[in-house]
Amino acid sequence: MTTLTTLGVLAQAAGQVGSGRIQGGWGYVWACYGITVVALVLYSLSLWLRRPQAAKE
Amino acid sequence: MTPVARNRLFALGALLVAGAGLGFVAFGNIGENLVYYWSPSEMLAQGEKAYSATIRLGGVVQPGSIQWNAEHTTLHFRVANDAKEGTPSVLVRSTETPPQMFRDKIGVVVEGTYDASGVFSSNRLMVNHSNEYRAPKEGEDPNKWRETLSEGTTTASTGTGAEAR
Amino acid sequence: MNKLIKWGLPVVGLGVLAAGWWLGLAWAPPDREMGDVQRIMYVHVPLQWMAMLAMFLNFVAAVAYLVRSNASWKLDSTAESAAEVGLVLGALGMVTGAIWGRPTWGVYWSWDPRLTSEAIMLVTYTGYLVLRRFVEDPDKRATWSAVVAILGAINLPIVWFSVRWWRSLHQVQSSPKTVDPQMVLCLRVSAIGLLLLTIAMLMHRYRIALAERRAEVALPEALPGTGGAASVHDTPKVA
Repeated sequence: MTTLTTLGVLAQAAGQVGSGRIQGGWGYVWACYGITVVALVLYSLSLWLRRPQAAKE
Repeated sequence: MTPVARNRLFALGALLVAGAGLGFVAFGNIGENLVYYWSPSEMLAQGEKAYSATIRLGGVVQPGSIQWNAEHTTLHFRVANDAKEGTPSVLVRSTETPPQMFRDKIGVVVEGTYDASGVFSSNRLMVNHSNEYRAPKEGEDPNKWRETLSEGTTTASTGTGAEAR
Repeated sequence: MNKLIKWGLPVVGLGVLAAGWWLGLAWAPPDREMGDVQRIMYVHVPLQWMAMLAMFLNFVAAVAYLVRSNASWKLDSTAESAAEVGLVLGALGMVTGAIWGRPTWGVYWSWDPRLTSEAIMLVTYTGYLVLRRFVEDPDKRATWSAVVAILGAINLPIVWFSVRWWRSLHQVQSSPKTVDPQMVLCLRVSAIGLLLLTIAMLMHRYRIALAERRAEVALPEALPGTGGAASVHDTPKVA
């Protein structure tokens, strides 16, 4: 769980070269989840559009 | 020949070819002839042959060797075979800001050229991560935190694939 | 297909995946080195696992199609659906991996063994699906593509073990020992959710493939304008 102290630990010494810690970067996270959700929705849509129409046979 | 027998023959043939291919890849010497990067000692062993060719050099950032000039964005550090003291190392010069995970003892792969002056000019600096994922401990001292990290995260800083297994 | 499975499976899968992602994004701790960027794990790793699983199913169905004396179109349809779903998941796995690589490694891409073998794998399955589109005779298509599927499957162990066999930028597989329990939990929940969704996608894609096969086999000769690659989509509607 992200408590204030943990955040404090993360913030210490971060952001300078050699610190070894990534600060921020939520944009990358949202990009990954967003692309995946959009692609899976589109693929599901394509499955729906291609559905076999058994009733007409 | 019946279609079933023919298909079985196809299956057998394909499985044999696939198995042979896999065996060749797994137990052949591809890893020795086609390495993703050289370790510092391997590159130094090449002597003059290593000069001026584009090379990938991989290893661990030697503790205490990082020199960063923020004004001119020049970075100097030494890439060593591993984090132990006294292992062969190479001085690397880079003109880009390194990834934020860059630190002492982390695994790095640099692309660039080596020359007679003994400096490796990097034009691409990559940092690699270990397979460890840990939460930060509460109230942890950042300097002690660094000592708890695994050393030399480059998966095979020394040795070839066969040995790494 | 049972209505309960047809609609229940995707709904449950979505629910579990949403729970896993919510836990991963809001509840799990950040990594001490990667910080919040580490949360990409809960989308990237399940995608890659499920892609491998689907491609393995493709291999099993292909072998079964060739070996069994009473092989039916069901096996061929299973192979086709598994390849397509696996390719979608694998491509997404690669994209999310590249995005993860930028802040951590410093680059989106490098030709290291893992990334290279993964790229070859995706090209192989793309080729497999293209081949299927180009062969009009269902019998030949099933046989030829099964051979390609078996040959292409050698990439699966290569991709998996590439990080152990050779030096690479990508790290070796993690295990519960190397990952904090909270993160493991999020990863497992997300993976189960995506597994359920993958099964649902496979089933729906399988039904499409089977209906196409049956429509093809029902036609003694391809009618003018209905054969060939372009109209495969339309076949059920025409029939």
